[in-house]
Amino acid sequence: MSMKDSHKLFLQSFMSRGLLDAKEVRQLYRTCCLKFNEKYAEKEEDQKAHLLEFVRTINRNIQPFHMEIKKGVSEEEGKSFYCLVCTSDTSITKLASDYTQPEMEFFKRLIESIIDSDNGEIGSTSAINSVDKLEKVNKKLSKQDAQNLLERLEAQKWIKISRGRVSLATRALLELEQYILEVYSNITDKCNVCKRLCVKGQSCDSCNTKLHFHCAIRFFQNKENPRCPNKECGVNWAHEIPNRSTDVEMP
Amino acid sequence: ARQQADNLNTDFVRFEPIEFAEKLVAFIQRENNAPSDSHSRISPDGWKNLGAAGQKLFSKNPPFHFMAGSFDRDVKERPPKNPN
Amino acid sequence: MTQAEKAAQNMDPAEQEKRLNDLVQYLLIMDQKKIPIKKIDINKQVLKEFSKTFPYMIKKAGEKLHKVFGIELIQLEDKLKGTYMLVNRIDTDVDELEEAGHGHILTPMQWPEEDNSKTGLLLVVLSLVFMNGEVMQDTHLWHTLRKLGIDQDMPHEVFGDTKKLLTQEFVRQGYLEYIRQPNTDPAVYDFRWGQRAKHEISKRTCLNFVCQLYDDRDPEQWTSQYAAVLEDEGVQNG
Ligand SMILES: [Zn+2]
Ligand SMILES: [Zn+2]
Repeated sequence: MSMKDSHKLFLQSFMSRGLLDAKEVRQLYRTCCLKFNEKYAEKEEDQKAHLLEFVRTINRNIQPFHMEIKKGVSEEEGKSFYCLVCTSDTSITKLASDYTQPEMEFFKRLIESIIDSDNGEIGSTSAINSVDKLEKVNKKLSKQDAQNLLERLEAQKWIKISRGRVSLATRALLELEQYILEVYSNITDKCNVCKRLCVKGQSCDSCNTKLHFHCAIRFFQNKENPRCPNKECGVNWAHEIPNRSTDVEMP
Repeated sequence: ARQQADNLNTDFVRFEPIEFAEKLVAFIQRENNAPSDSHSRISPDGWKNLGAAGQKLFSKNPPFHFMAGSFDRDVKERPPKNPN
Repeated sequence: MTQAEKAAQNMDPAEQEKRLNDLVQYLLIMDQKKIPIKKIDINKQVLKEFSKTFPYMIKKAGEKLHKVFGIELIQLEDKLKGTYMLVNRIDTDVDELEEAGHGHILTPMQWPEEDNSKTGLLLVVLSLVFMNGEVMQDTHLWHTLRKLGIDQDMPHEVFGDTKKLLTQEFVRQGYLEYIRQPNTDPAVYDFRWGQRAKHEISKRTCLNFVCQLYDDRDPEQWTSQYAAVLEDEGVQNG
């Protein structure tokens, strides 16, 4: 199916916002259809299927240009997010100019330290201090540059800074999942339940099997004695299962 | 004599840049509910709000921003993570 | 059949489709900085050994951008000949939906804060230039901007080096032209609208904005500016 004006506006909104949560996506879908007087599903039960088809139409049309609206779940609150990502890695995508070469090197090292940490986060001071250790940069960054860069990365939703701790935000996890899994294959884990990259979560004391918090909630629901989901392990799950209601699941 | 002619022709208004600047400052102060002060300048918030409202006057294409594929992959051998 | 069409016909169809899609992706990526995209770079980065197909491929890429994204690919003229830029052709304004009380409207477009402030300044400069008779001498413009708290020799708290922003960044992006008047010594410079400005904002929109500042004055009261609006629209329609 070809793109109607509503699809185009929806896509442009993703280009300008980068990342939207499930509720915003529903509102955007409604807004785009209303704007161009196009039919949309008013009833909630129909809306899910319509919206799914709506996004599929866009993805089919933008796939030749190596773009995709991708769904993911935030590691901390288990909320659904949608993000417009680039799916190729070529000499053309290297021409992206949002960040300079030293800035990208800094971000790469930041990702590495976060992945390498135990809780998927590092202190912002140590993040800033890491500029001194940057190799292969065509221009040195000062600590002030690093501070400003962290703020920019946060504003553009790539990282999250909370109480002086820096972690990867959902946009980065969604877009860089493949990169992180490939480049850091020996220090990354996939969640045993959803099989996707897991940076923040719970891990088995015995076999290191990892689970997202929201996946742990789902997996251990109504289980009296939670045990490690790894069949060869099966030891007691020695973590408190977080008690939160997860966001309404979307397509 | 020229000024007289201008005054007679009520349909004709001449553009005065300084007057424009004053109108603009007053408009922004009104919009931001800021107290109108005598020294005319536009605050950082004033610029931000003016631009935010002005964006829709431009048919500007939203650029596509992404991170994946924008930097080199330097796969290097690393020791496995310490299991603690 | 043109030379470019012949060259394209000699290409393997799969290869042609791949290059075409790469070209669309390239144009979207290069639009990040809003600097007009050069034909020479397109050939170097995307078409390479198939650069003979350029006129055919750029036309096809423009059609795809329009069909999928609602974007118009514009070929620039005069001094910017051989360069291209992207302009949005989808109406993104949803104010009327909000006013109509549809509830839960999400504003589709969200721009970075820094971009908002710069757009505010750009709107002011374009308005001044247009209202002043489509050209404004730089000393005259700076004198006016001083009334807004902007000094060309002093770093501004929001814009930093405003002189650089106006005479370099906005000029490179095609929003403004900054031209030395012939035979002036010391040099005298004029500001005019650049080609991007002409494609992204209409003179009528600009005049309406100014009227809003003047307590909703009737645009027709600005006789010569209103004539320029009509002339602009006449050219566009014809
Ligand atoms: Zn999971
Ligand atoms: Zn285990």
